[in-house]
Amino acid sequence: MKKIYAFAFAMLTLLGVVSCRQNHLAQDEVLDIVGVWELSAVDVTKAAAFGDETINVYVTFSQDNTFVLYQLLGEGRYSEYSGEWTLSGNFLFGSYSDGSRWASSYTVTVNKVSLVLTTSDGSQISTYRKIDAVPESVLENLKY
Amino acid sequence: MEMKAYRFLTLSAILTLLALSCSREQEPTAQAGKAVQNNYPEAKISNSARSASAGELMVKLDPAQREQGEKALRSTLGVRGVEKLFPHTPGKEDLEARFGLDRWYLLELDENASAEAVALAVAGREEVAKVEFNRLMRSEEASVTPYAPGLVTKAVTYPFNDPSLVDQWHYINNGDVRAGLNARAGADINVKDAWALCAGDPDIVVAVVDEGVQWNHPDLAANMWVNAAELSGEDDVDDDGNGFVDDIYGYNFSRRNTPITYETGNHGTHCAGTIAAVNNNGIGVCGVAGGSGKGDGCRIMSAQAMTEGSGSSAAFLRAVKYAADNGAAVINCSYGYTGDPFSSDAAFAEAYEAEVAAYDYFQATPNDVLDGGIAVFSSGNGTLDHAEYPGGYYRYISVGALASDYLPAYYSSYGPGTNIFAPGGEVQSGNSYGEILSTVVPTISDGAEYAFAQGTSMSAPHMSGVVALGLAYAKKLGKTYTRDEFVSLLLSSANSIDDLLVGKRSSYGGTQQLYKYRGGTGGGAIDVWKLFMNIEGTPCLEAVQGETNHIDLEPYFGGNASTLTYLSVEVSDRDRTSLALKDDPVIEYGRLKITPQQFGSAKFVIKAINGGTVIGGDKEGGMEITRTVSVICRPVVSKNGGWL
Repeated sequence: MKKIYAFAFAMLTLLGVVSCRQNHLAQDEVLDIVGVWELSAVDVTKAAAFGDETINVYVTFSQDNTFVLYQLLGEGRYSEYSGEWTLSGNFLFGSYSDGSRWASSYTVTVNKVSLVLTTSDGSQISTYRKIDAVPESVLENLKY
Repeated sequence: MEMKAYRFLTLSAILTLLALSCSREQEPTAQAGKAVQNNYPEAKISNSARSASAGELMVKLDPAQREQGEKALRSTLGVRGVEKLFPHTPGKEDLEARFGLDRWYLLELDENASAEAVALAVAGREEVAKVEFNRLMRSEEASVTPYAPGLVTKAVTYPFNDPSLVDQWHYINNGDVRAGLNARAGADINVKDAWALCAGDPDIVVAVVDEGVQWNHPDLAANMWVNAAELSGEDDVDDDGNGFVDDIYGYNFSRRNTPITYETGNHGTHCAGTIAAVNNNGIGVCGVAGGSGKGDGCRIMSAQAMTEGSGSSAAFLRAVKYAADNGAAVINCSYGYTGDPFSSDAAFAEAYEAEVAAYDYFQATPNDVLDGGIAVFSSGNGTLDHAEYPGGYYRYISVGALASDYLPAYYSSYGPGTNIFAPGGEVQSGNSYGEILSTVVPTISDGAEYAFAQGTSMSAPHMSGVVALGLAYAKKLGKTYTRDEFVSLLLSSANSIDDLLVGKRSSYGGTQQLYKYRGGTGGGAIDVWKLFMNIEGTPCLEAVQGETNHIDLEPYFGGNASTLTYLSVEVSDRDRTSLALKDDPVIEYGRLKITPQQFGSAKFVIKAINGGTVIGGDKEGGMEITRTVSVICRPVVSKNGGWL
């Protein structure tokens, strides 16, 4: 389980994180985000610094347009969320099973190993790396 | 690998509402207190001596027997001195008489006189209508967490260049987790786009009734109200004849013959910064009505009613009258009585007749825009289910506190008497960035010029600043209102947070059951853009981020909106970008169709043809009509705290 330390002035550039075998995706290419993803970096460009909480996020996007999300912000046990997602071109949005919408919609760039979600107002860029499965250690450490 | 950009002292940030201790009062009898029989003098005495100032009484005389009454007071055993409670101001005779200010006196008692005994003796006189003990009120020590800025971040999308604006989530909240793990983008007063229309006006003055304000603070000095005659006049002389000597930036009512002292407490200075710290001056922080960098900020008057955390009722009342008589349109009153001494407005008005008279006097004194002033109070930090007094009194605006997640802070009182909510901040575990950042006095803040603090003491100045900013915008547009009209606009310029008030909320202060706040937040969370649109008269609509919205235009084009021929929908480039519209806006079946992808605000100018499908002039046809609507895209937030 990789811990992310969100640290000050984290100016990871987009190119540096996405290992690009291709610099851009063709306009009409169909993007595929299905798979299991682990958050690997967060770039918050509008603030000078984060706190030093750790952020652990795993999300599984499924073929049937549902998703399951495990997150641990700081200390404690993982929270589990689920819901639906829609990808329209490179525009991703979704809602949780309790009806509430995601905090933001995102523009997507993705390839076989990396997924980058940029919030619509550009203030936050989250990068995920593809993994085989959500680790057992996460599933054993869920909130009751 | 972890770095903290900001080093700050780890003082725990405690509540900073000015809590004035006041012993629980007996509820007075139901009598109105006007025509009181001579043989029940006790009925004229409205509170107890327990928290009384060492030997002072406030006495109201029957208007028909004033001269006689004065003589009687002076000759009462135990009374050392008699002076008017409210100094007379030339030109204000009518209002002073109307609210009875001219009939109140402050009695100084002999050192060993018993306040209760003298009160009884005085009340026994038929010329006396009312007796109040001059209460000495204390505040909790204002605790702030000093702020030391790190590297200046290039604030590309921020409207002003003040380097610490990035740490003021209460003005522009990007949902940065540093302001709180549950911080929501858009959970702020929505002032960013409004600032482009108006950021202040030096003719609008807000009086801070509090500890003294540091008038020479680098980020406040340019926005201080200045009594020009006194500034350039002689020392020890009342140059402008307003009854006060050397009142350059205000006056110190809490100590006789003493200039304003600001090193005796941070509270006043912190409130002042929220109201109108200087904007766009390349240093420090921003204030709600601090201007745009062109000397156009609203002005701050220091009406000092407290020193080192204590002040008497008389000091507060005099400060309020001074504010009214010297041009303040707003008073910021971040104080209240602890101990929940009143259970009703009637009880409060009965017991604190002199106070109500002073606030009424202020709210009846006209200014450039309104026919009366506006008093803004904090709702209290006692976690009560009703607003604390005096703010809770129905005629005063009482402000509750929000945290960076757009939810009530754990300490905030709410419920009946609370009119609106504004950011008051809340400490997050490990850091203070969830609190309110403003100006403080360096010599008492370990050298820091800016610091974080939390409390409804901080939410009131947000609202005071918003009132001032609204008045500035109204003045800019050449509009005037009655006081009541403007207050109605203010209190309806808000967003409901009721949808978010579900489940539990955990914080540093414990667990809140959020349903309890439903219906108890007054108008909701104040929204400056909505206020500006209300002042303009521009309809203000809401859209949801990330969705295609079909906004009904019937209220703006009439019942036939769906069948009109529309000519165009125009939106400026700036506004288009503000909302990040996915496509061009269009009208379909009388509905404005837009897909905003970002929270923000924008105006749409819509043209249609009334009376035909073509414009006449050649063929018989219709005429062009134009309506402007503004759209706020509120942030869509995952209400459950989910990461996405």
